[in-house]
Amino acid sequence: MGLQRVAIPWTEKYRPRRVSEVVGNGEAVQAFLEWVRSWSSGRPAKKAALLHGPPGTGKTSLVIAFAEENGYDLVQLNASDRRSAEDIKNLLGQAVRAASVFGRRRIVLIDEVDGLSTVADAGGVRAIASLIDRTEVPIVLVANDPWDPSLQELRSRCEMIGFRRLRAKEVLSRLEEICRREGVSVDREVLESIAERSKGDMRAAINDLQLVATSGSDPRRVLESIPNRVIELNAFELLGRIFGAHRFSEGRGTLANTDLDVDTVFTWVLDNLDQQIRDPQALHEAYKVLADADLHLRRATRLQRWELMKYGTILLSAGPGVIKATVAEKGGRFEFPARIRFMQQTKDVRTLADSILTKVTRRLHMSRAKAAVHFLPYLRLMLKAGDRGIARHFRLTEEEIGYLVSRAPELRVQPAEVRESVEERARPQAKARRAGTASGRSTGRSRA
Amino acid sequence: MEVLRIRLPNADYISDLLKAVTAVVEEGTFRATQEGLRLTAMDPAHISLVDFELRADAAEEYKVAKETEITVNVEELVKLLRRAKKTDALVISYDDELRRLNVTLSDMRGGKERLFTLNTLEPMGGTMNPPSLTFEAMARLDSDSFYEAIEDSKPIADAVKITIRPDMVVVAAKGETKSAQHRFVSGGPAVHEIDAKSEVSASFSIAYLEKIVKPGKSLSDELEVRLSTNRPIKLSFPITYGRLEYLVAPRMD
Repeated sequence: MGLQRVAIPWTEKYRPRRVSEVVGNGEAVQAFLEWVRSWSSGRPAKKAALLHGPPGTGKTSLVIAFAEENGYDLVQLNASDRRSAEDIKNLLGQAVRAASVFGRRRIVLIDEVDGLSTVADAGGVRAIASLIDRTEVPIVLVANDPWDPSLQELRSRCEMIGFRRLRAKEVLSRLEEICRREGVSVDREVLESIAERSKGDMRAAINDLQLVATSGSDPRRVLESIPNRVIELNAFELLGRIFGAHRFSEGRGTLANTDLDVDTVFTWVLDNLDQQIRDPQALHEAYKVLADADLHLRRATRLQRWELMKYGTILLSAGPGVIKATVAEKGGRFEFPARIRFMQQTKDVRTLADSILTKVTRRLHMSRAKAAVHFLPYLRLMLKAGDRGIARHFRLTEEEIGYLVSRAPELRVQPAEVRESVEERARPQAKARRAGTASGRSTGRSRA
Repeated sequence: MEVLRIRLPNADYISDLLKAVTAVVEEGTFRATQEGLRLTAMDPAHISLVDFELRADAAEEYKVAKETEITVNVEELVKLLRRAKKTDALVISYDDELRRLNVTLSDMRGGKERLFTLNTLEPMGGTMNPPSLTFEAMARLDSDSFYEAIEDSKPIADAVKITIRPDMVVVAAKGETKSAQHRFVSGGPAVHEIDAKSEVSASFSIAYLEKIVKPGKSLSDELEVRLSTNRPIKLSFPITYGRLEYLVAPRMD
């Protein structure tokens, strides 16, 4: 007796072999095809595409099906592979510049780039960005959540193609087809229930179907035994839920469905508020609710009284939607928070300013705030006048001296992108951002 | 059941051969037939391909009860084989039920036997056949001289242009501020034969050529290079009782 061979998972067996078999997301499929075909007439503006969206919506399948159908050589780097900067350079550095042994055109596929920010893959994002800069072949990146701050370098280099959760109807028709090809009969009612609970995740639906169809016991019983899936919402989906919740009870649970931290969610909601609620009175109400939420959240972290968190999260998750419902407005598109983008772009300068303050306060025995306001202007003048002795005294590096000599007293770097969006926005927005900054809110999410 | 049994007088030769295979792949699938053991595989980036065969007559004893495919981590296998001493005879056998490779090293004079086992792997994508390619030019070169030309090019650039002309073979590297050129003139000691009607050339990654030629040159003094303009290059190291051939795809830039 040999070892038992595991049956082929149906998700693998019924993976689309042709682009036409990819279910749903017609627009995204079209956008991908246009981009990849643009390679045959020279280099497109973006040499990489980032397919993003919830799991089980056909992102990776589309690329594999396209490569198979059109005779492309597919070089794939999966999340299970080692993906340090070194590994990426070794494996793909050549693949993006050399032809394939079989003389076919090539596509490079890097799966789950949003999983790259872990320690083991340190430098991976940088390495991929430099691959994109040098590549001679199309590179496709796939991610569930592409809005992680650490992926900024990739977003700017990629054609962004978004995938949505599949409709239950789309999932259902695929399930029926699989049943037909497998020669198994499952009640339509059961199939409907599988499609419904999959929440638009085809992989989950097919896995459930295989389990139900091959278990040999009562399908309904089996289905009941599968716990409900907790779906992870990305920031955009989460905003949709929060602003779409018309009743308190709809909104309050939304934060449980994301792995974004509360601070990040707060920034997203705050920055999108004035686009979602235009009525001045309602907007005023909404800002008040957020201010209260902020107060609770700050207290919770500052006093380490975590039981206070729930007051903040409830206001944050249920407040904006309820207020929006009172004015029955449609609301604009959700946007990536300018604040987070600004902080990312000024990271280098802020690090520099920080290290200067550390050095200065160590010698002067004063607080950082005081040193920044009362001392730095003088230090700046002295350095401008050519006093190298003071620089030696604080052990400032050339880079730090350069910063002090050239920069204005405050951090006034405003990249074009941010300036634009600030001007576009209404006034209350700017006010709100200042309020957010003053509370010393931390940015980004840490994924230790 | 034991479906494969190979007995070799010593482990050196096979471990050097397999070491040369690992220039391209870490793991691979061997096809064991009555004729011999064969492995054809591409590296993960699909830029190079190795075609390796050890013919049955290389072994003192070669038995295949049933044609079979064995996927192993070749690097791990080489590590085991490297434990062999000069005086050790080697038996490699495969059990298709336990799906395990047995490596027996026996020292006849010392009356000592060592047994290593290596679990095989789940095959990834199965075996493949090398692409059938025709070539416009061929040259037989001294493998050490060719390796030296590759090594000399390393500090200059990350790719070399290989040219076969009716009268010479040229290995050239060009960086921004420096360049290197090796000419192997027909009739000279490094060139055994050139067969080219006109000039043919293509560029290749030095990293790949180096990985392949380094272990290859210690197995064979001669290297056969087959080339077509901007198509994959074929590097063959003639070995007794088998085959050791590589393809490397050209650079596109």
